[in-house]
Amino acid sequence: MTCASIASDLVDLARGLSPDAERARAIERHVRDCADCAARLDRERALSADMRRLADDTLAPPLDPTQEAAVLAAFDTAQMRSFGRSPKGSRSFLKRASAAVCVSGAVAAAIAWMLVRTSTTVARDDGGPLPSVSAPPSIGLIVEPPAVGSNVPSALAPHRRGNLAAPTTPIESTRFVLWPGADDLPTFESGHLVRMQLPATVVASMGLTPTSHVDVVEADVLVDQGGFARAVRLVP
Amino acid sequence: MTTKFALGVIAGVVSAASLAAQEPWTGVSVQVKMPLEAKTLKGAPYSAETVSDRTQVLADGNRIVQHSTGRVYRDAEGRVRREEDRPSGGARVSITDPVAGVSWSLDPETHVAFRTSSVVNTTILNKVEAAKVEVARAAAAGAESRREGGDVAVFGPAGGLVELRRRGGATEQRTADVLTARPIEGVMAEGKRTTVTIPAGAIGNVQPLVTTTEEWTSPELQVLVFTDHKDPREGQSTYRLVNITRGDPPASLFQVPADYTIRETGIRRFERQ
Repeated sequence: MTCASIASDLVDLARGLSPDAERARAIERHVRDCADCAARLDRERALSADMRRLADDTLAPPLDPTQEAAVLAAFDTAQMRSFGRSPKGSRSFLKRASAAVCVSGAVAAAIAWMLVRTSTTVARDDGGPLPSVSAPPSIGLIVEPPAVGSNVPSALAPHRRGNLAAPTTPIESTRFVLWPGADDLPTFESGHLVRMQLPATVVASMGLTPTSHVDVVEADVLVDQGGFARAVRLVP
Repeated sequence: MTTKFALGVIAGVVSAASLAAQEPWTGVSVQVKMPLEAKTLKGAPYSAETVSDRTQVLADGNRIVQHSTGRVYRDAEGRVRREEDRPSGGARVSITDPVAGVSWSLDPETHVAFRTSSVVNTTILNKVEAAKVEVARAAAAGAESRREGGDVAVFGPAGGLVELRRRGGATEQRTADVLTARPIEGVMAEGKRTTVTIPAGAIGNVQPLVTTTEEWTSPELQVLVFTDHKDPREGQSTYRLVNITRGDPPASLFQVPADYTIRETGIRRFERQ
């Protein structure tokens, strides 16, 4: 087995594709003895990790039909207010352009209002802000949609990294991974889920990769009746 | 009780990781807690005190000793109240109420009661169980690889390859023993002991590493009354119930005091239901 013959395999491995067991063993033997290929595999893994983070940072979620309907309804309402009649009857380009300007202004104001809220409110739920919560840098702020009766269309409420997301859709959390050594502990009977900030290196050592380069991440740690950590996950 | 211990354990891991990464780290910041119960049991009310001890002997002969206490109450409907004594005085209280479908974490200093839906409890435990299944599957794959006499590719939670690791040769051995039932704190308890042996050389250890976990469960109350975990790398940890009394505790123990402000933990929003 030569370096050239496994070049594409190294890329596949780094991307998460698995060769058959026999070839994986052969590759592993080669990588163990070949510093160049080992370095290349490391580089490809780092590249894959960066690509995944980049994708997570830049991909916007698909527009929810409810959101789309809300935006269109807001547009129609603004038009009706501007012209005092159904927007379907309007054929004037000037009037439509004026309405669009009005709506754009309203949307811009709404976004500005939400940005102000984002900087001051973190992870609100039904009853108010969480105690002593400070979102770690670059993890993204999570903001509740505006309250009922608010002038801001709920479809414009920012969620992760300011992307549009359906306010009623639960944010998918990362999966739990078992804390090292948890397998050998006594039966889990009771405990707590503790939300805390941990060094990114800790969760990375357990196979959890933060979606962006940060030193500290927010994580949920499951702690048992004896005080032992059992599992951990990143908080999105 | 659990928080102090948990922070101790987690801080240990954090310190190790920080050292490995040559990064300073000063502590762990706790933000929100929600209580979890593995199961709901009706018709077996009891009250007891909880005692946890942890002793770690360091290589230079130094010792780290931690001791914490608390109380647990369960009524006939399966509601559970747990109290953790805090070094600063007072107790942190959590209430799990399967009848109302909520759990509470009470902050005695701010008089705030943080509420979480019971659905979250189930969802989280299911997710942790899924993680166990994944680990078991990976272990089975490792065993298969060992039978073939080769190595195994280790995949991370997202499915990507984490590393190619040699799994052949010596591996840990696990045995389970059933212990003779005996009374503990006035209740009969059934015991089992799990012994895990890592053979010499498996992880660079000169001698075999033996970890034992003993747990005693009351079949009547369906609770752990005593556990003892010994690991030469971490020390010894025990958890036990003392002064166990049967009977319904006062109903007021399972209610949020009237002068508490109710808030949501917000954890629910992270669960896909």
